[in-house]
Amino acid sequence: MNIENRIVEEYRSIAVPDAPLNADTVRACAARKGRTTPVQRWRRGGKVLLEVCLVLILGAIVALVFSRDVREFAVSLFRPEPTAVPAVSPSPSPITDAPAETETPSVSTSTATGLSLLAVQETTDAEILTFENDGYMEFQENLISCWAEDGTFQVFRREGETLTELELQHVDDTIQVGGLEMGLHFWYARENGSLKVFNDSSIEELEIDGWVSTAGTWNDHTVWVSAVVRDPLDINTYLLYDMNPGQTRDILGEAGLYPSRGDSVSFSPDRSRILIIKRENAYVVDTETGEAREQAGIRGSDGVDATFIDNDTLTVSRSSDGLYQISRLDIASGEQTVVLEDVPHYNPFAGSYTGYRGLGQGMYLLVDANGYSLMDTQDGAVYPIEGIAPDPNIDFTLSPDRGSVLVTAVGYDTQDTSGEDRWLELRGLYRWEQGVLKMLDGPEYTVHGWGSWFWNDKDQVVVIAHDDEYREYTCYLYSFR
Amino acid sequence: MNDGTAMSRIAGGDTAALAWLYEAYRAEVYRLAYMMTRQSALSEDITQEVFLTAAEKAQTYRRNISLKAWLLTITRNKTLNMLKGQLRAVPLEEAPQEAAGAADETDIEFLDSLKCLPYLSRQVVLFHIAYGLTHREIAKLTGLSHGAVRKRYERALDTLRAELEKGGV
Repeated sequence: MNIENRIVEEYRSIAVPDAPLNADTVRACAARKGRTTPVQRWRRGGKVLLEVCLVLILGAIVALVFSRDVREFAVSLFRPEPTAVPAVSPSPSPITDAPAETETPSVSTSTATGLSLLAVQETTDAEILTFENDGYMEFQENLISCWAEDGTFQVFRREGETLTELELQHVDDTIQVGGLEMGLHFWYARENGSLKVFNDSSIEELEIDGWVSTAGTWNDHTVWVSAVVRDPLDINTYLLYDMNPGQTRDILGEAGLYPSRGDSVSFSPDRSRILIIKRENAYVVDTETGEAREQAGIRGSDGVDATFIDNDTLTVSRSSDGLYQISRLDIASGEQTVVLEDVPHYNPFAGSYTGYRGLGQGMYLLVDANGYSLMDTQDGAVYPIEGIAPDPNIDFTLSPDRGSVLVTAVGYDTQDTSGEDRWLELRGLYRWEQGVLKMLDGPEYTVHGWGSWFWNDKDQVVVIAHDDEYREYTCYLYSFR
Repeated sequence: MNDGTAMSRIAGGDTAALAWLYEAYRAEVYRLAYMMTRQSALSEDITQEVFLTAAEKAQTYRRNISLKAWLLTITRNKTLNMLKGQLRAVPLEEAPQEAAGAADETDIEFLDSLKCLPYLSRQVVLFHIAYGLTHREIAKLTGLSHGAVRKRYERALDTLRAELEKGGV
């Protein structure tokens, strides 16, 4: 007998007691009698609406027949009107009441669209909330953005296991980038005075090989916009868009520092400064004043990379002749302090880069034949990560509070013909200050490339996976203990 | 009566529809609880709890998941919660029935021998073979991706076949 038959036979052999349905359960069901369900309410409301519409239509027909003024008014409705810029309009998607709260983790609760809280799991390492959407989804700072096949876009605020829909507005505007006119389209919502923005990539620009998209907010009425143009210019820049007058401020363009493809652009943690590394020089630009300060000794062509540690300090790494060095640079004084000098590269795996790398916020991952270690460039201290051997599939992601590093294994999904999907496993959590590496035994996810796993908070990690047909996306929110 | 009709009626307080639901699914609910706890009295309690929850939450049921998978999700979570209540905390990765206390009644030697599989893999095998759930339904139920369910199922069967050949199962 094969395995399947043995399982089925034994499963069926489990005797089921002939117990009647509990009377309390029957009473709980009977108590629902007379309450209207959402569908019944919708139908009842629809019936009333239909009757009102019929009366209005009849009235309008009578008025059209007998009144010249009404006829002219009706015709004027179909005349084109000049459109104001920016056009701010309510969300076309229906804004419904807050979705039903999830009272127990055992019940799948759906929102108006295909988003639902599917499961709440407890493991030894974490609580895992699983959200699913019948379409593409994104997760950012506890806001879940959902797209549906019919083009509907909705955003939900997650608080615990409860999802609450945000009221969205839409902006359609045109901005100037390097003398070119480009369309800017995005959704926004306000929460307690705070502005949240969401890209609307459904509107394509056909005339220019390029695109603009929102890149976060600057204050309660100003939005960062990323603009990329490939043809007829080569621009890869950021602008500020003030929603009130609908105007842009082209900080980098005004400073004559348009970054192009291949240039590196990064923000300081509070976004008050922008670092641009070009082939021949590098600048730090003040966001408020537009003042640009050249950073001597940093040239992209020399294999130099730099990132912000904090708003006033950079880490700079240089690589040449098989050796690398890492230093700390004070932006105001230009003073550099070498933290690590002339270390040989260790990159034993052909076909993929597995050597040292910056993790952001002044943390570097170092690797040699013995394994991995973390280095804090603020003080030069090194923290060995015991128990993980060098591996071409291992990747590290630093938490927003710098306190933890998520260890993942990532590789290309051999069954994916597009070549973009990857398999992902959460392997470990390294609390470097305590020197503790907790190994995780997470399942394997199919994800759509880099950016599908990230920290949501200092103890929370998000993974966004999808099914083979890209129809259902699943968001796993790990809250580590 | 079909599943969707039954749930709509239960949401409106139809006890006959609830009775139909109970008869249609009580065996599957009980057997899952039993396989997880190996305790018949506890499994009966869980079964009643599951249908009470189903009656109370009928209006939240969405047809993007099969009714069987929805009920099994409730069963699985209720069973884990019950076991947690007994043992304080039972990690998902561990086999709850091993920690739950003395087993009783039905001899399910072969199902017990599935212990050689990781807990989630065992659930994938049982849900697919015993309950006839599709890999997609199991993915929704367990929180795994569709691809991960497929891979776990294939690996689990390979492991079981190898154990059978060794005489371990």
